[in-house]
Amino acid sequence: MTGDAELRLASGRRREHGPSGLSRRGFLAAMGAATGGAILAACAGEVSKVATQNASNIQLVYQDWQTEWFPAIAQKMLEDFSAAHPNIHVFFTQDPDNLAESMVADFEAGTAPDVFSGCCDFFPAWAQKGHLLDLRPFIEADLDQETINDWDPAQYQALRTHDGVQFGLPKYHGALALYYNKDMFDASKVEYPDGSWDHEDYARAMRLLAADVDNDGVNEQWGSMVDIAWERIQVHVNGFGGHFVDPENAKHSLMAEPDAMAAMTWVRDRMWEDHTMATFLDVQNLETRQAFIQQRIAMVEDGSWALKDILEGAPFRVGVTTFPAGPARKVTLATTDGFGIYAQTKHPEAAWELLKTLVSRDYGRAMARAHLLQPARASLVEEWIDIIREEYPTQSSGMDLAAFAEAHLKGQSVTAEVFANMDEARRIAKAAWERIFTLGQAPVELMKQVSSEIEQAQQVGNQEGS
Amino acid sequence: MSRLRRRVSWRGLVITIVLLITLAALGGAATFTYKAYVDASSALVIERDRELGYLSAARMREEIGKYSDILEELARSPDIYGNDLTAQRKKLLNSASRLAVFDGGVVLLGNLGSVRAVQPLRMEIIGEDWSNREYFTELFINKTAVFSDAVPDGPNGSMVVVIIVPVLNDQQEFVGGLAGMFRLGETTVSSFYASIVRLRIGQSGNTYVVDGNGQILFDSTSSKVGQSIESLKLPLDVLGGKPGAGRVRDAEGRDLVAAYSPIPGTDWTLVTEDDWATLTASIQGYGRVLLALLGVGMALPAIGVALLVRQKNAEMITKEQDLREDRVATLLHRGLLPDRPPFLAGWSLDLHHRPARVVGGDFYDFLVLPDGRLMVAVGNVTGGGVSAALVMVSARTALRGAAFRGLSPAEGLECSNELICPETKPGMTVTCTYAVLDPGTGQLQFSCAGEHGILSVGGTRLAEPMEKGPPLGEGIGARFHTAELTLSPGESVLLYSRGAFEMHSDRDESFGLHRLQAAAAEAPREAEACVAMLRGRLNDFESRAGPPSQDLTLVVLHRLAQPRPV
Repeated sequence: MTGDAELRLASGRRREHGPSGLSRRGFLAAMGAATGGAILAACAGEVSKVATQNASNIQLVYQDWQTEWFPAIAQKMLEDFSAAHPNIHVFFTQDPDNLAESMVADFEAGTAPDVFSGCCDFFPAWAQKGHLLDLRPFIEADLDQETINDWDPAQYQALRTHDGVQFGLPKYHGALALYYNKDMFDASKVEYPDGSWDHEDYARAMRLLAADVDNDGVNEQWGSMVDIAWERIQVHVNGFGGHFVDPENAKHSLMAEPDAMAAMTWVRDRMWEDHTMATFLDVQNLETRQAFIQQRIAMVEDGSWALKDILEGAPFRVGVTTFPAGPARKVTLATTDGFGIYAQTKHPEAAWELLKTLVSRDYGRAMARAHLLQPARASLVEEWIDIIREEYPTQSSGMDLAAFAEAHLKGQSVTAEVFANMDEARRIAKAAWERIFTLGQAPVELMKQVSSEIEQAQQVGNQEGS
Repeated sequence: MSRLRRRVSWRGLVITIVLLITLAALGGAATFTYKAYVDASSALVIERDRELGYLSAARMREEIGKYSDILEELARSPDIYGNDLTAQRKKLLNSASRLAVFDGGVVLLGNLGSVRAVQPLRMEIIGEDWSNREYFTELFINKTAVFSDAVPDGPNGSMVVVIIVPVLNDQQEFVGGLAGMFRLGETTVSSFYASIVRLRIGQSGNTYVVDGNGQILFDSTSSKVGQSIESLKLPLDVLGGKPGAGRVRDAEGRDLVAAYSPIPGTDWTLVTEDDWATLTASIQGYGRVLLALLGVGMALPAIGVALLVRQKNAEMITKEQDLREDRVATLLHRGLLPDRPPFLAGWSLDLHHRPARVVGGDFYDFLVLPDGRLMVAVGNVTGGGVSAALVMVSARTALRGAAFRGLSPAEGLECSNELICPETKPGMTVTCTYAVLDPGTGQLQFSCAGEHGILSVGGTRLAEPMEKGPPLGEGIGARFHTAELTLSPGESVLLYSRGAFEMHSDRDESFGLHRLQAAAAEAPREAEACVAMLRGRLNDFESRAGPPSQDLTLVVLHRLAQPRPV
């Protein structure tokens, strides 16, 4: 009821009761209503003006990998997108050098891109800090179940925080596998690995493949190599039946539990006990992929994302098989590369339209063609294999390319486990692993202290709960 | 009544004039306050936009500075500042991923401005002399990063902006420049435009970046790149090299706040437009509230005064009507009530009548009948005013008529009741003591309707208790009882109205019948002395706070012991 109406009611009552019918209380009530009504009326109309924004000319920023080849596919895709959405102009830019940190600065400054890619442990860390838009309302309104089922459930789930915020959608499916140098295997008369391998087979082969070529008492050739990175260590722990993070409580560490300790001990022993697995010091800080391409190691734990580099760079016959099973189970790491939207974007609807294009089958195909990236959708795996065989017919012949998709199809994928305060957990673990694995200066027992410190770090700061 | 109307009108006129003057003063103050508020807020909005423009320009410089950082980092590489052409080209090639941000490519110039290497390769410009480029000249002079105006140095002569940094060798000697280029009007892959868009400058209007020649390098509508800033027809000195802001109407007639600020370290200017209505939405909201409050502040006193005047006028009219009614009733009352008791041989009669207000409810009557008897009545009509006076007239007439007809007091009351009943309003009744005295024999017949009665005076005999009937006018068919006593010479009786025993003291205690009986018993039998004594007692008892609350009527009939000579 407006103030005017209140006033009319009051004056009507007054007439009914005669000249002295309007009491002081009635008079004050009527005046109060009139004042309130007048103020409300004065405030009205503000919302509509603020809401009226020029939606006919929206500019967005899309940020993705810093690679030489990416701008070309981005340009093609964005031109198609502009044709379909003439009112939305998207400018592509590349990831900055130190993505994880500089993005946080951009988030805080309000200058982050509207749509961007993320991965690994920092992507959920951004979400934990509230920088990413919750996509659930858009997904419910705009995505069918068939699309969702086409993604690896582990990857899809990994792009969700513990309290249910879906902060990203899968970009591509990077699956960890075991590449091997067929020439080196043949030279050492070692049977090629296959999907039946477990960690014992893996260790046995490494022993046979490691070699002190110049007989100086130090190996120059190693069986394999592990990236000392969070999820690369974690996948071994998962194979041993352990976890880094309690699946029921994101603030509870399981890093010092027996299964986790056994897995890390297994890795460390290969590096520092039997010297069959190279450390970064052994290969003069070469990346694992380069160490493999340069034939310093006979096998490498690497993903489908490395296919193009390896197929183009390896001067030897390459084989690939699924990641060896651990004593407890067979698992493979699936990357958590995805696309997200900045929570403070001025145009969430337009950003969602762009994101839908980025997770489309067409974009999956484009990335497969441009850099052999394994599509996030299971339904595109066959096409992807055909693309590889078409582009690298010789190198890929005899390669079990389907091994990359096996975990996705068989439900064996695991993704990076994330603590509530992931930034701090990563920092603490990285420092410890440097001493344990890279330098060999500390035993795996150090992880007990590390686990405790990480748990303490979870109690500090405004982080997502369990 | 017309005089009253004139008084009310005059009073209303005076109040209205005073009120109008007050309202005019308030209105002036309100208008002045509102205008001052609007002016101050508008100035603040424009100043805020100017500050925001200045800050945004600084942020933009920081953002585009990232690109000069990339080039400077690369320029510090010995492969670049060395004189080995192959190494320079290889270094550029190996840095292709990082340099991909420059969508117009990267060009390495020698110390004299010749093109030495390009990434991606543009064979057609290798070896060209670019020493005439303004940005190279400026770089050569200042040895610091230069951000060029729009120039046609991009692939296939496309328009680009160039960021060029000096290449210094390890002796810090100038050996060339490394230029990164951004295509103008690029619609998709453009880190340069992305850098501007992500700053999210402006809330509700367009943003432009203009080079030193006034050519638009970027606009948030993606439609004016390459045009001159003059085409926007902003009546502001945008290229004056100083930050500023103003409220303007653009070429399309939109009401805008335009802010402009030079981008530090460049010849560029950042221009932002914001829709005035959107920008001032919150201020306008507050302004409307202020206006509403001022309006209410003016209206409330006006309405309040009007209501009070109306109420006062109504009270005056009511009071005047009451006064007029009282006047009429008083006239009626005075006309009805005898001034004094009649003379009666062998008797002394005295009367005291004091109305509580101008027109009291009490009445009394004396009438000497043709046979020499005396009719005495003391009564009270509930209520007041003209209607009560009229009922009193009816009662008096009825009682006199009954006396003339020779009816006994009880019959007289019954007959009067039948006559009065149709004329009394609900709740209005008549209490009455009705007596007929035979002066010769001293016989007194009387009857009472309601709480009235007769008391003997001087302790001779007690007239009370007696059987009393209901008040007259309560209902038809009431029955009354006639009592009788004979006054011997020297004896007296008192007829009283209700006020005699209902009179209240300061302690809110009523006088009561028992006190009245006691007073009557102690009173002298002589009529005047008796009345004087009773008045004294009642006056002493009655509350002094305020005017009398009760009518009081006392009539004393005294049979003289020795008849006075006539």
